[in-house]
Amino acid sequence: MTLPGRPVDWIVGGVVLTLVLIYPLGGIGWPLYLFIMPLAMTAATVLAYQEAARARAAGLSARREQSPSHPPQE
Amino acid sequence: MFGKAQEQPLDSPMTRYAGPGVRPLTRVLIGPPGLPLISVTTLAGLLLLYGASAPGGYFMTSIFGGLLAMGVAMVWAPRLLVGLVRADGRPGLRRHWARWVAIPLLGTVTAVLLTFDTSYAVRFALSEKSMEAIARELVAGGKTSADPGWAGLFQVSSVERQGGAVTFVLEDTGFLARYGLTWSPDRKPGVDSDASYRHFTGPWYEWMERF
Repeated sequence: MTLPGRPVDWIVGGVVLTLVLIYPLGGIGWPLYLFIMPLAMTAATVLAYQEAARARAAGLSARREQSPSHPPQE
Repeated sequence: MFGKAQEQPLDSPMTRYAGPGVRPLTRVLIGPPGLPLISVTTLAGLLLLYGASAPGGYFMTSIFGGLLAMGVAMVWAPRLLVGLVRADGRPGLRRHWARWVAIPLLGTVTAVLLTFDTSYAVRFALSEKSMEAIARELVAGGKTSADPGWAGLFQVSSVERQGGAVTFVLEDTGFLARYGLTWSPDRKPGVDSDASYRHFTGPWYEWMERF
């Protein structure tokens, strides 16, 4: 599953959406407030794992290219 | 390579399960709960315990503690869930299980202490002698220095005498009512007053008056 955006976008988006919805929905919106931030945090964490996996893979391939069996090309 | 890494201090970036070139927020999200989250959890627990340490409770302190606790849950639970679901998340959970467990453990300890009113009982036990001394002095016709001020560990807004009973009105307690503690060794107080009384322990009663 690929999610759009960066982790920070989801967290900031969750906070902003919660604060924006507090005004029109007032007290009756509390079940919604309780769902927005956990969902945003879940999406941000999934994106963070994907970003870390990409960084690990990139680091691994860079090390392979620098190893003696794969000398860097000029 | 990760298994042979040296143990790093709590919340060190080196303990995060990520390679180089990863943003700090990403490291935090895929790492175990660090010192900030554990500290905020402790603070939330302390605020909730303090909020419940008097009859009627401290409303704003309890609200703030509750919001902090909710925030901690919203940060901790999704990270744990995603870490459990993903294959590359489980090794980090196993390695730092103590830090993951610390948050719900603190929550459980707080909930148990709140269920048994432990903070209230301890605060009262530590304050009872001082409060009784003030009450006896007032009934004997003496003046008291606790009006307003402190009686034991409780901050009082006023000390009122009704016959042989003395009521300590507690500062900032309750929401739409005033709360306090009444010392009445002879009889149940309040038969001729608008306030309500509930027996607490020995000669002590919880006093409540609606605004």
